[in-house]
Amino acid sequence: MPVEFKNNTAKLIDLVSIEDADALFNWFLERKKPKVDLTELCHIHTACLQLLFVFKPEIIAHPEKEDLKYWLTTRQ
Amino acid sequence: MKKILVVDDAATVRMYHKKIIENAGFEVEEAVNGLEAFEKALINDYDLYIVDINMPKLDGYSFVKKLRETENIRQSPVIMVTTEAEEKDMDKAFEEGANFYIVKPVKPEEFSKYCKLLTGVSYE
Amino acid sequence: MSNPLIEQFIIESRDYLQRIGEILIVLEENGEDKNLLNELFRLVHTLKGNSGLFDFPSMTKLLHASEDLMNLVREGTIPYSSDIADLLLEAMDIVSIIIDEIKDSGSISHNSIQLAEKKAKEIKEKFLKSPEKREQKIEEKPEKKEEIAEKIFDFSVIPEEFRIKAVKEALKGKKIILIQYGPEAECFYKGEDPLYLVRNTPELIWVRSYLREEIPDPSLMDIYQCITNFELLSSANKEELSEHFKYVLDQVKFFDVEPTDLIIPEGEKNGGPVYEDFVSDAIKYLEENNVQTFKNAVKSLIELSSSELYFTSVLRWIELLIDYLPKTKNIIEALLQSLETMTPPKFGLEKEPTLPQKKEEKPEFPEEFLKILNSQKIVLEKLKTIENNIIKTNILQSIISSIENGLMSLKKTEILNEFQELSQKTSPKDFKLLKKWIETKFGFSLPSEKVDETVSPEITFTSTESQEKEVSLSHTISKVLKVDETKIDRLMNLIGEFVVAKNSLPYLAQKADNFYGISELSKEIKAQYSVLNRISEEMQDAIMQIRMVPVSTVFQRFPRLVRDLSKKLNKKVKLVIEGEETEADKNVIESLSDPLIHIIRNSLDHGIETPEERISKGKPETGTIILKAKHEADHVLIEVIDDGKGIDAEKIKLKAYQKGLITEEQFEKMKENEAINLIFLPGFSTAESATDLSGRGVGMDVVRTAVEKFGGSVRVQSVINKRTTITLSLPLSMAVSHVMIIESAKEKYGVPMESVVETVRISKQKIKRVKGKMTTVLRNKIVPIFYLNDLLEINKPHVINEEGKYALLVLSVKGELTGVVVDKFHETADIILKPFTGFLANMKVFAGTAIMGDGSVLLIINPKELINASRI
Repeated sequence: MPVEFKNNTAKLIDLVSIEDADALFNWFLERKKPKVDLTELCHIHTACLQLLFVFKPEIIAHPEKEDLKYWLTTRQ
Repeated sequence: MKKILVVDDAATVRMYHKKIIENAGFEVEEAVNGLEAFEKALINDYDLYIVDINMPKLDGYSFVKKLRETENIRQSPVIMVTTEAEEKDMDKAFEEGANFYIVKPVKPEEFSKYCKLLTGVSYE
Repeated sequence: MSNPLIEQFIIESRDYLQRIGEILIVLEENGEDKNLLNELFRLVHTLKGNSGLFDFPSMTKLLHASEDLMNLVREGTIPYSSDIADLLLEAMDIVSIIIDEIKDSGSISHNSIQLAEKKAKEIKEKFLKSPEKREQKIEEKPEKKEEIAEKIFDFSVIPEEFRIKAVKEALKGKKIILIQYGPEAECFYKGEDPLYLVRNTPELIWVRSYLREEIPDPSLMDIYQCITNFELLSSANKEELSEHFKYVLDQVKFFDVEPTDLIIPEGEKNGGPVYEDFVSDAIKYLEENNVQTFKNAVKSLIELSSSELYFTSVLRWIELLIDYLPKTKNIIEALLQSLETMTPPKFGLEKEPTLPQKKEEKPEFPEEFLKILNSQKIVLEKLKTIENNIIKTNILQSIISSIENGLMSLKKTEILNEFQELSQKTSPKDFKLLKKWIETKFGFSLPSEKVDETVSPEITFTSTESQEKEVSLSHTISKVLKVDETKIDRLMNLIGEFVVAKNSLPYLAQKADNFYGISELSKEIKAQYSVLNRISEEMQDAIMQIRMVPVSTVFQRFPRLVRDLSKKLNKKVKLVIEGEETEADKNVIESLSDPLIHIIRNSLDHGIETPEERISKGKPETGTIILKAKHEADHVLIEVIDDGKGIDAEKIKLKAYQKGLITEEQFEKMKENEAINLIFLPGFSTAESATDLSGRGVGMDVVRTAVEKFGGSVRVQSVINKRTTITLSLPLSMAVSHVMIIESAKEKYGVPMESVVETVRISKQKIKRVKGKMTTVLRNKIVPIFYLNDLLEINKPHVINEEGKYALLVLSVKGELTGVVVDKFHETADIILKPFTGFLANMKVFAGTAIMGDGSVLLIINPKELINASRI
């Protein structure tokens, strides 16, 4: 499982695909102040990326991958 | 050094023009309206006049007219500085004997080129 | 604020706004005054022109609309009305706010931009909608701009580091392409992952992704619909990119990006180092092609400057561009220009300044010269209609110099010779040849479209200059230099310091004589000292003169105030201003402002009656408020006189009694004149109900406090149903005070002369204790006596002279005589009072300190606080 849920924090690991979108979506819906840890994230499917945009979780750690880090932190 | 008279009632515009022209290597004097400009023209030898149109006391057209009416003073070229709205009124300025016009706000590079051309200062 | 052009703009704009406000109000009474309408138009017009030098489009837009409106009024197309005045006043208020914002922050707040846009729209809709050509032009313009704006991507959203990267690529010869990618909503079902595609774009420089629609309720969203858009920059070529996006080409847009689109300096425009030296140096290096020095200068400045500054951002761009000189010369010049103007760089018309082949296309004559030639042709054309021979000769002469100079400037010696030969043959009677020469020589390349535009013959003029021509030439023009007042303050402080520094010379002279034993040197120092002393006195005098400003700077606000308030109150009021040229120190004038506003509000609110009431009293319907200024000795007197209902002393007395401000005994005995002055007591307000304007618990006590703070006084006189006169008296200059020097317990003090009534000697026996207070009788008046040493808590008795008499300083404090026993009287002196700052400011007994001629420090007593101290 590329997503580990721990209390209010979801840790996204390696490759988060569209298969994970539903689980992530439901988890976000249940949390008031969700947090995400992206340290080990290598790629995230657009469907999951836009969930981050919609729910605006607090990003407690940025991806180590430079380019990914960039557009996950600058949204409109 | 060639000497240019900048005529405008707005101090900001005078400052702006002065800066550009000075940077282009000219000596600059200022007048706040057509009347002061004319008085200065009587006793000074300017190589070029840069004249605003709408001014108190004596406007730009009347200044050019007075200048061209007067004998025995140097008839240097006159650039009128106009707004877009006044552009169509330039006919009148040419009639009075102005030689050229530039629309406000002037672009520094273009402006200094015209000053050089009209005073015979090396262009490049 | 470090840009002198903006500073000048702000100072000048404020003047114009002030004058516009004044004219608008005068026009209300006399809307026909052609001269004023013309002046008004000119002021708004100039203001608009000035604002166009900077990048404040919303302000320019609003001023433009106002100018158009004024033009219609001036031309008589629409009559001047109160509506127009209101609208213009409001517009100018907005401009005024914007100017303040520019002064404070260098930019305009979003709120003000909206206000300005709204007001501009309102003016257009109300007055400028008639189907005339002029208005159509205005209407069209913004629309066109928006269209373009929509197409252009806002490159400033790209962080600078990425823009720098892209420009670097471009300078290396690559094309930069902006790609906008809006994946279709159903793309996930096709197995697509747009982010994956984007991340693998060849030569990707920058990317951003954002939601293209808002999700009001996330719980209802369809997570399998793509709602994300992407924007990216790449330096790959178009073929490569087309290949990469080949499956989604219908969802992708490519745009070519010019390097100049990306060179957007950003950052804090205020503060930082002095740019001007750098700019002039840089231009020099650039001209001399001194690349290495230029580069080093830029590098070291970047290291020295804070990276958040606009200045530094420009430098970073220049640093990048230097390596690609000379093709980047134009861009660097534009950037340097932008440093001077503090406006975004304008990269001129040359769209592709990086392309070197441009040079080959360069025409024999630059476009600028051809334009000049063309207008000379037009002037020649006009010459035919001129009869006067002198004018003809003169204009011809100017045409010849214009062309001659142009050729000289371009170093076209051959053509110049040809032209000079020709011009010698030219006379006012025969200049056809000249025209022909221009046409044949340059006809092919003359810019033709401009010709039509400028030669349109059908334009008629309404001549407004006929009167102006009459103006006598001997009229002298007084030159006024406008200076920021902080500069004056600085100069004053410096002069103060100079005075102190100068004071050390006599000591040095003494030392030279006594300590080193060189009396020759001592003499020379003394001689030098007297020279410096004279200069410093003149300097002090000069700075005082500079600080003098006319009261009109405060008075000019009141016509507007009276107008607005009287409208609000439905009263008719005329304001008469007298003596507005009266001058006083700028701080004094400034201190007048708030008290006067309060007094005038009171007059309007409580003084002047409603028109009906006035008519029933047999008074003219319109009330009058007179605002008068004049000099009296070393004071400036300001009187506010209204012909309203006056102040009812009985009512005042009763109210003061009810409020417990006076005792029953006082209530019985108090004279009318004294009673009126009760309005100055704290917490007193005569208004029976608080209106919108004044009387909200803020009484005349505020006025008194404000005036007294500056060493002034205030008094009221009133005749019921006839008039009320309020007189403010303030010292002419607060910078220099005249003090009497006294001594007590071997320490010297200064006492402001305005409170000193007399100095007398009285014998010890004449001081008697009455009801526990020390008093004496002076000229048949009972005067309370205090001992300065007691007041200052110095535990020493006062010195008596040989005749057994005390030195008594008689002061007038709050209109009452008070005696203060001191040891000795000394001379009087002019001093510059320096108020205490910080913790010492709590020592209210002293107004501050002054530095004396010998360099010693004199404590200046504040008599009011001194006597107050005795009561505690």
